[in-house]
Amino acid sequence: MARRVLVAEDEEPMRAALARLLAAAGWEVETADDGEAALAALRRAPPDCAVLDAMLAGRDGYDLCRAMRADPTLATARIVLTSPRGRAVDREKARALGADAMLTKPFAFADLEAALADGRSR
Amino acid sequence: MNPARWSLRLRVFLFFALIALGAAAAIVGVLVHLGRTLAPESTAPLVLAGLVSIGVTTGLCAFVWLKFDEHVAKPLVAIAADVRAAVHARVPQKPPAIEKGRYLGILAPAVAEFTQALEEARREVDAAVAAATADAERERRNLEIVLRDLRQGVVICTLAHKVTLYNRRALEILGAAGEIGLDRPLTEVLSGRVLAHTLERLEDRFRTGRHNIHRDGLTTTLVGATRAEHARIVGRMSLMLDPDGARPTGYVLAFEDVTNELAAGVWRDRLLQDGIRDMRERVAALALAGDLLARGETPDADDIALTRALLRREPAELGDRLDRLEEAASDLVSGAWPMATTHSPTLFQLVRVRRSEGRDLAFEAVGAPAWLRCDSASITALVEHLANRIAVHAGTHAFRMEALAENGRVRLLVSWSGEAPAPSTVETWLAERLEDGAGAVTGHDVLARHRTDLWCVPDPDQPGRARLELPLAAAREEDLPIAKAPTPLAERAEFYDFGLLGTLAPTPLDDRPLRALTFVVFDTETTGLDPRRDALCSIAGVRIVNNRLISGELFDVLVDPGRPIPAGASRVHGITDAMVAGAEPPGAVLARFRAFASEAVLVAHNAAFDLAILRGGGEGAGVTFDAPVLDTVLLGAHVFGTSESLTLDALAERFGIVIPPEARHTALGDARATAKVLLGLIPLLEADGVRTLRDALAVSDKQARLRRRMAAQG
Repeated sequence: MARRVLVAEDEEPMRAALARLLAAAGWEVETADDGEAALAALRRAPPDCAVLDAMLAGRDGYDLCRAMRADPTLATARIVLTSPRGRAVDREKARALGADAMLTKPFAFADLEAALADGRSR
Repeated sequence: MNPARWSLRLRVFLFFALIALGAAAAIVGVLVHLGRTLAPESTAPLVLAGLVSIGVTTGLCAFVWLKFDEHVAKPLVAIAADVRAAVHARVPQKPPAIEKGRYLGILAPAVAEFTQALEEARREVDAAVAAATADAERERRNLEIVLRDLRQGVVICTLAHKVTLYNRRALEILGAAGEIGLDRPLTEVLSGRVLAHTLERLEDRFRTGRHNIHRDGLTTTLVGATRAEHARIVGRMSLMLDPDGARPTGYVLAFEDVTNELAAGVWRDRLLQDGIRDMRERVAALALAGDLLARGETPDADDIALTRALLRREPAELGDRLDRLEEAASDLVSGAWPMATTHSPTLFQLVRVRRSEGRDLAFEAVGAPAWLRCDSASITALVEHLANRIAVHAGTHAFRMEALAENGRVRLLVSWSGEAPAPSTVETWLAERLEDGAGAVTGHDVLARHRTDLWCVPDPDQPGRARLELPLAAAREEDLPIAKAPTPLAERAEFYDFGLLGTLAPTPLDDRPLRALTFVVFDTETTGLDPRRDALCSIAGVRIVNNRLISGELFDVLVDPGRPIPAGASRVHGITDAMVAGAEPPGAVLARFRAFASEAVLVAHNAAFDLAILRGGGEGAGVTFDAPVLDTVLLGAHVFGTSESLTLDALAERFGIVIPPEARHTALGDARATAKVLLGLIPLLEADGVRTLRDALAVSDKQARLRRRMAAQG
């Protein structure tokens, strides 16, 4: 059975590209374009992994991290946060709030695959 | 024979003797006359009468003289001696005994009153002098403490840029660039053009009276660099006026080392420029890749291969550049906003005393204190603002604060019992205006100013508690206000000499009194005793400014002579080949020594030898020594005579100077001893009329010629 991933990203081209690339890589992909929709989707069908944009409208990626870690059905899902900011303090914040990895935009798809596989931050 | 110099008693005696003699002569004259006119038989009674009257007269004179001598002359002499003693003595004197001058009427009491009055006047003057001295001493000590503890470098100079005062910080900042010392030009360490230009502007402002209306008065900003660019400084130069305010006498320069800040700024600027240029290249390549795919035809295999290659490589490169730019932009240490070194307990205390929204919040500080670098006012405002929000959100009022030091940063932790607010909630709090945020409008502004972020999470160490984490920069090592390893400079009292401010215009050295000259007394140790063949192993110099040996300003350097040091020489001065391995060659050392000795009169014991070594060693490196030179051997010969022993040991012994055995025959030890000998010689030379450098050079020349002649005669 294919592993499931939720992609929460408010930029349409980015979301579409990620969905196509992940599907091509063998993932079962669900998408959301804001924080509330993403949380609803997560709760409806808990995925194995989540790729969350840190700067989402409504509930941001950090919020989703905290919510997932607080929800027993989502606590073990791997979280990859994507962010346009890449300072050390941003990585620290992501880690502190429960993300397994953080990717700074721009990133290559190979980096995302690696992060989803073992959570290693690039 | 000068009667005026005879003693009072002698003159009184002679006076009475003269009366007796005169009376006798008158009696003899009268009797002789009578003898001629009277009968011859009356001669015998006449002679008898004459002898009796002469005897009586002489006896009377003798008696009156004895009484006069006893009661007038002797007391007068005694009183005179007492008065003289009272006038000249430094210690209080008994007033002259009144009974001494019983027969002198009012004189003795008057003299007694006079000496007493003198005594009192002197006591008053002494007390006033002592008080004034104590005041001056106290002020001097205060000034010393202020200057020593000042975190800024301070230098006071004459208009000719001669240093008359400097503090420890100034030495630390400028010391790497060269020798800084009293009565030496500051232009040797700081770029002279900037100093001259800034001083000129201030003098011009003063001349034209614009300082009366100028916002900065007689002060202006100075941005400069040390020579050879060791350090960059930013500071303020202030013109000093004479007590009447009529003309400038010098200037004060207070400055800070901004080398690191500027370097960081330059580095950031460069990175920004390079980054933008580089990113344009990457984006251009990507744009072309897009063109390849979008030109309307079906791309062929080559197009696809090229596009693939571009699309793979360029985004990764672009990301790499962006990472570096962000790193530069978020460099916590070199923030543009002025950050102060703050001790965490101070910060916590500031938070504790704030009561902006009237809530009764309790803050408890836990853990070890840490030093951080932040704008404490805005951080305090931020923490307190969030605590107010959290108190409502989590239903608590008690907070614990901790500063956790970790590699180069300090994490501020504020914890409470209860829930952690969601990040988006914290975001809304951060977007609120801060009350009294020290210029920052919102929490976001404070975080941006500190180039950091904050978040709230459940406390990983204590279940049921949550905490706010705020990473801040740790204080830089060099900014810590705690005592570092004490440097030997701490106790130096000779950092300043305001007497130098009196020397406004550079006078020709020749006419300067010996006491007012700056001397560099030096000594060399060499590979042997032939200046033509042998070379320098070590050179040391000390400075004498205004007749004081400046103990802290010294030059003491080992030199690689560029040849093996004979064992015999090593036995004398203790310097071996191993010790000079890696030392600088003579040329480089002598260039520095010349800088150390610039504007000073060179002094050495047996200077001809040392000077020959200096000139020989400096030749190759283009270092010349043309300062006036004095020789303690020649000056000693002038004072004590050529027949006396004039070795350094002998002269030192004469002046009671003790050379520690381990220092003898070291360049520094001998230079110090020679300097002390010079200080001993100067008063003796002055007593002999040798007051100026010209005088000293003249007697030296005479002694040198004398010694040459003696040597020629064998």
